Amino acid sequence: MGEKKDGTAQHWNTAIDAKRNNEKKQQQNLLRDVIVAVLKRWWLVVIVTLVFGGAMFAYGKTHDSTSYRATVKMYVNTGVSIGSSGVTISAGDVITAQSMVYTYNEIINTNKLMRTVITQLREDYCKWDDAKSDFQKEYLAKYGEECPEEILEEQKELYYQAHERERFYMEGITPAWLRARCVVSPLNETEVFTVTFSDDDINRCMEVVNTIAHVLEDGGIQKIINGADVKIVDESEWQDVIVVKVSYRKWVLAAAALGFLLSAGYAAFAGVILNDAIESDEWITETFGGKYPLLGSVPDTSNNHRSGYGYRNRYNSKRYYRYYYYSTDDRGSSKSRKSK
Amino acid sequence: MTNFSETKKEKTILSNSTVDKKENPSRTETGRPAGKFGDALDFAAREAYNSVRTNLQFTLPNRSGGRIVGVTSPCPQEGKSYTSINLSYALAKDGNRVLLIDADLRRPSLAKSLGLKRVPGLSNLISGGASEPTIHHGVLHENLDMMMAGDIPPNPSELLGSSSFEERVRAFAEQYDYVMIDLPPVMSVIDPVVVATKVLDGIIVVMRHKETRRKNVYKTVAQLEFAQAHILGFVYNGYNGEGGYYRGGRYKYRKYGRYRNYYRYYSSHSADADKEKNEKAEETATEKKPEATPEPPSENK
Repeated sequence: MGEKKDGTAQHWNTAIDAKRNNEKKQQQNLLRDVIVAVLKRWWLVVIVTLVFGGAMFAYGKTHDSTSYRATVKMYVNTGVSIGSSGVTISAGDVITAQSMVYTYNEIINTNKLMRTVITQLREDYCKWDDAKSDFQKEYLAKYGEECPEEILEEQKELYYQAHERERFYMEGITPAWLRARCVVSPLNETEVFTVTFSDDDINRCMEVVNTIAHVLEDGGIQKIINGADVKIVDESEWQDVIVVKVSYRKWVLAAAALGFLLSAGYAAFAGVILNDAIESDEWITETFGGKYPLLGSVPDTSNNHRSGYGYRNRYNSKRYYRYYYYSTDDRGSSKSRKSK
Repeated sequence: MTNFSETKKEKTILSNSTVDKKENPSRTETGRPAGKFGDALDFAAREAYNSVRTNLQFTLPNRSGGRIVGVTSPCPQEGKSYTSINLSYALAKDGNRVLLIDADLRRPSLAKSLGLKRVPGLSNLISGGASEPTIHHGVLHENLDMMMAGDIPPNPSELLGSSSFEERVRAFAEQYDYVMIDLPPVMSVIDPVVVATKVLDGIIVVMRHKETRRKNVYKTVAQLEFAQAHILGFVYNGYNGEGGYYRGGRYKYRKYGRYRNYYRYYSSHSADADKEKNEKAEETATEKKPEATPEPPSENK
């Protein structure tokens, strides 16, 4: 009995091993079929890869890809005046200041502060203050008296309406839009941090980053954290704006890779999934078995079945087919077959 | 291991036939065929062709005279010529007198494959260019004769559909047990259908593993059925021995594993050498040790 049991166990082990080996072999065959299918359509893969890469290259060449980056430097005020002599700054102060930078970063990115920045931007951009003094002077010269507040308010509305286009320039700005372009980072392990803003328009870039700095300095932080304060160390100026040219090289490579993947995927799909070729002799027996017999199945007689016994790699299949089809002088019969 | 004596014999047979060495020097210099044919095939392929031969003999109609069998395929490059050569060889080895005709008048391949002279051949004969047929006698086997395609004519379909072709083939069928006709593919030209309706007793459709498309097989069968051709059956060609019964690799011999050495023995020795050895063994056994006579392994062992 024990021997029989051992024998049965051995039999099952052998069967399981055989099944595993078979599955492994099937996976290997599938992988091989996929590779062969892709290699068969190598021209398609090459063309699509080049087209995708070329299209992205052309897009990069024709479209202006320049952007600008303006930076302001700000000092985290921990109660020590930076200009006072005889005051020592301890390492603890620096660490505290650096940790505050991350807090400030979160505060700057809040909707509340960003809305304040946007309001400020619109007002600054419209330059009403300059226009207001000019209007007051004109009013005084014309009527000989100070302009009343009601008329000033009316004029302000009229001014805003007249400069709607300029306002519109800043209308599209939203807190999310600002957040996406604004980066706050500490500067070289000091108490100074930088606010960097990127934009396609150099004027707006500088305007925005300086407005953020002024809002922060004018109590934007202090309204939220009692006692905390920041000061502008350095405002953004024309000469400091960094011109950033977007490198399309990596985009070209990415597009080419995408083209390669798409074309190779299509080739594999068409070659393996949509392949109509006969995979086994069972299909013949199942399809025609009742009517016409399978006389025999002959194995491949060469190690490399592509090379075959010499003639398979001499003729390209389609070319050979075309030769057959068109080389005949008996065109009438060929055409009549085609029309049938 | 190849059989030297038999290879030598094949060489002499081929060199005796009308081989034009100047026309195709790369193939005819040695007078040897370009591919694997006949005994050069491995055991599995030879057995497969023997199986095809046996099934073919059962499938063919029983009548007097030689049988005329055509070999075609749906598309080019699916192994028509290869199958027709090896099947003819298997029939010839079985003791039948076989004539293999290359009727692919547009793209003849038998002459190239075997390193034989293509011209003159079938087209010259049926067009009246040659009065006597040019037949290569004893190609690959003493019972196997071949007729090449000849010059490529401008009107192959008309030639193959002519009464001259029919008469000639029927005349050959009187002289041979089997007349095998290597035909062009059905999907490319109408020739095989023309020949099948005129002279053939039956037609074999060759398919190639992972190459032949199913829709082409359906179209081929429909075309032949429409022409009322007698389809003898299919030959599935060129599979690479994956996961099947006696299909190469590990399970090639499966139930017949015990005969592996036996087959190896036979495949590595010629029939002549075997005969000599057996004779010698018999002689020595009768003289000295009768129990030492080599016995071929049997199924009961």
